[in-house]
Amino acid sequence: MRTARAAPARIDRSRPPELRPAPAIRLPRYHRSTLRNGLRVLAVRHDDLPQVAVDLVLPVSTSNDPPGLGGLAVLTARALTEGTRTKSAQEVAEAFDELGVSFAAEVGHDATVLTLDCLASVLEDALRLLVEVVAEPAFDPKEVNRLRDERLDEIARGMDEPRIVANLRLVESIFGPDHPSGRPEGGWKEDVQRIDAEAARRFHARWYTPRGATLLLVGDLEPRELPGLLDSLFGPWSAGGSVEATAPPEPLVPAHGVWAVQRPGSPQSEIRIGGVGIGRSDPDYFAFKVQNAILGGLFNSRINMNLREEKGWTYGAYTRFEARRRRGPFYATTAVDAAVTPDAVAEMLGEMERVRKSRPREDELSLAKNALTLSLPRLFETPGQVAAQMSEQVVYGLPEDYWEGYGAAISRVTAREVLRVARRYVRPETWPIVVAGDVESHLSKLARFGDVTLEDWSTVRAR
Amino acid sequence: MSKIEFPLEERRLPNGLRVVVQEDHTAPVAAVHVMYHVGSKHERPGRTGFAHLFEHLLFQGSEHVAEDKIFEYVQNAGGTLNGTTWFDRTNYFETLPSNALELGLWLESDRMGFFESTISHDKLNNQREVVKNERRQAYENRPYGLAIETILRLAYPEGHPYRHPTIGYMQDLDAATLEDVREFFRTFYTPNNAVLVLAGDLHARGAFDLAERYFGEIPRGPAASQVRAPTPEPNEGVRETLYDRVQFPRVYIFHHAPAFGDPGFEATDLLSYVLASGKSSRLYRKLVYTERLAQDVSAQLWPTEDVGSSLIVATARPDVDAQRLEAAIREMLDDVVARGVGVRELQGAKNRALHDLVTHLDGIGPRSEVFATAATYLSNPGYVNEIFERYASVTPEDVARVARTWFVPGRRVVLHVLPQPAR
Repeated sequence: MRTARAAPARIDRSRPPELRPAPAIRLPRYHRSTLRNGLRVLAVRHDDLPQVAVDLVLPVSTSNDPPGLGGLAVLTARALTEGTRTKSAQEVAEAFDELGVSFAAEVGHDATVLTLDCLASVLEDALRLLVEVVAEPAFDPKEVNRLRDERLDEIARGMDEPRIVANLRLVESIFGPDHPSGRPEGGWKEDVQRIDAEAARRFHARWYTPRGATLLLVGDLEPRELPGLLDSLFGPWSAGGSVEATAPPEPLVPAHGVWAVQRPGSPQSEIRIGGVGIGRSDPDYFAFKVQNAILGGLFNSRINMNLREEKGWTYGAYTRFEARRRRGPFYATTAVDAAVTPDAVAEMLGEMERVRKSRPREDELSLAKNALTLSLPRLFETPGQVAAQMSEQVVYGLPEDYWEGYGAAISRVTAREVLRVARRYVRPETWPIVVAGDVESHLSKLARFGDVTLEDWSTVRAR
Repeated sequence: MSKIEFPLEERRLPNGLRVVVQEDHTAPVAAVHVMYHVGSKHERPGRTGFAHLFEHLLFQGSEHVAEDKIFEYVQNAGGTLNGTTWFDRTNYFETLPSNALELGLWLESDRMGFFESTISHDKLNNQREVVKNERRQAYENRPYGLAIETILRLAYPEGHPYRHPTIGYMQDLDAATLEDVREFFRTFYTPNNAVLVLAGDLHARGAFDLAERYFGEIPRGPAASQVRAPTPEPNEGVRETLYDRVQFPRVYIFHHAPAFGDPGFEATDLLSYVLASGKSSRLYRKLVYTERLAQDVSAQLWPTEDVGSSLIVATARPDVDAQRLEAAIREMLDDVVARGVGVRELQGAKNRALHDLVTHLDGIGPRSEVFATAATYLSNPGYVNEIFERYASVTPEDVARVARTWFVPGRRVVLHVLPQPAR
């Protein structure tokens, strides 16, 4: 029962409310400096809460793994915190934990990013620890051997997961086992087994130098006061010459075919269809991004609307791409009810065919562009987010005003360009198709999509 | 740490809808968050998973929002949206550029007030299949994926509201009918059973006005009968073994625990930090680093409205069996129960917990959820501003007390997930 009170004026619910113009994006104001040891610093004040996000971006990546030692970049980064010149592994762990500092090392195909998040009150102590683990790691053989065993466990554990097996099989099929993009960042067993403390020490000496690295600090801080503090904190880190990022080799054209991994009794099949996508500095980057949003980048994209909202075959179906220094992977991904496996592959290929055939509808184009541009304010809300966007700028050498121009660059993309990039990059006739699940009964149908290579789950596990 | 306070305002509309507003002009974004006091614990026998299936249906349109348009409206405005279902509540939320606040209110009020006439067999059947695929993807086809529902079945007696998982069982999902949908909507999706949180780059007065305009005309519903999940009687050594397609045994040790907002919740959470957050934590050091029995170990406390659930999970390294791993964890639990925790390790745990809290509350989306949860469970959204002090004031004696009360055999369920024997 409604309380007696003047009812508010009825609103017109038949259409969405008129929106005021989108708010101006408050982009970070960078304070630049260079420390005496050559380390570049970018600081941004973003101080709603008393915390700071710190990223140390190093131009060293899986591309620098020596031949036969795939995974060395990852293992070296993991070893940083496992003991220093003056602290044991346990003492380093205690130092981080007692301050409440979280530390993570992310090694990718283009860079290594060491992330340190803390309350503003402990920033100085946290940075001192960062310098210590970056400049003076001990690489004690006992600790490195333990990390190597942990990596081997991690590889084995991943092989229990259909989605991980499908992802790994896809990138290997696209790039080949000898390309850095064709293997997991942490390397495969055969290589990892060869890694030792001496290899990690040499790798660190060669690549972990302040010249070429960039320190990002975002949060509750006073940028003008930083250079003096940072110079004294980062003083001990001085070794090494100037380092520039190494790009991996250009990818080759992938092999077309169906890679089926038989896992009896799986209630779903993991499906991946993809190939070589786009590079971060490619002039087609923006049009490619819009094309991806139309095909499979959003909830409302074609592939998800078809496989999930129309057919109910899956919890979700999407396309993904990673634009790297070199062309990275671009693929469709889903997990479907095992019974409809070949039908799902056919529908996904059908959507790829359709996006190559004709221009997108106007409403699809505007949805994709709006979703990509009007979402910017949300991507600069917290210090961690701001630091992540800045770190992308640093890794790919994007200009400081990159985000100012981003909206216009997306908005300029036309339906004709979307069709052009779709025809250029969506090439399922040359792409591998990976299906991991209970596929044996579907083999004859899957053979319609290409030559089938069948693998058993047990051989996959032996990797 | 300097004091953190989120100033908030609260009003109740005549139809019973509780509205909470928090201004924060850090970034030009705004959050709209609606939490209904209904979750899997309110489900009838034979209808497990229904609250979550129902959540999916609320994304299928309402009278003024055509099917599949809700994502389109929000994404066209540059926003993001989602919904989640938990034992005690279901929530729906958008984070939008601040100019699109009103769009969020239009969408959410249409769901609350104008949904029932739009449901159909097609929508129900489609989303039933989607949810069954969610169950396959996130549980059945994932290693160790059925462990949690097994533990719930062991930890709570027949008929207990927390005994089944929110995703539900396949046969119950198949059994759901349109009549169930109508009844559920009428019972639980009423303004007097909901909280609306508006936060971010907005003005409080304008936000209350908009809430009144969009939600004011939705009639109050019957009072939803609330469900309490009682704390079970202490048990006597409940344990089970589950076989899965995995290579490594995994040990799950469950304990009943204090509910969110109860005395002892923060102390229990801090005990989880002492045990397994960070490489200096007790279980990590013992199991992963020193004895090298485990590949990983974690400890968590679920924020439930009624009796809490805490969980320690560790995966064995090659050639380590589950018994040995379990014995090592129990050794550490016995030590905590017997000797408590030290001042210094507790201070470290607090520093990590407070840092995690600040990070979590930084985004207006997650912050709105915490306001809504505190309003729903405790009728006190401002509880968020007390949390920091509640953590900071926990003493070693508090932690020892919760260890002695809850981390004991009578509160414990042990599950071993083992590799399936070769066929």
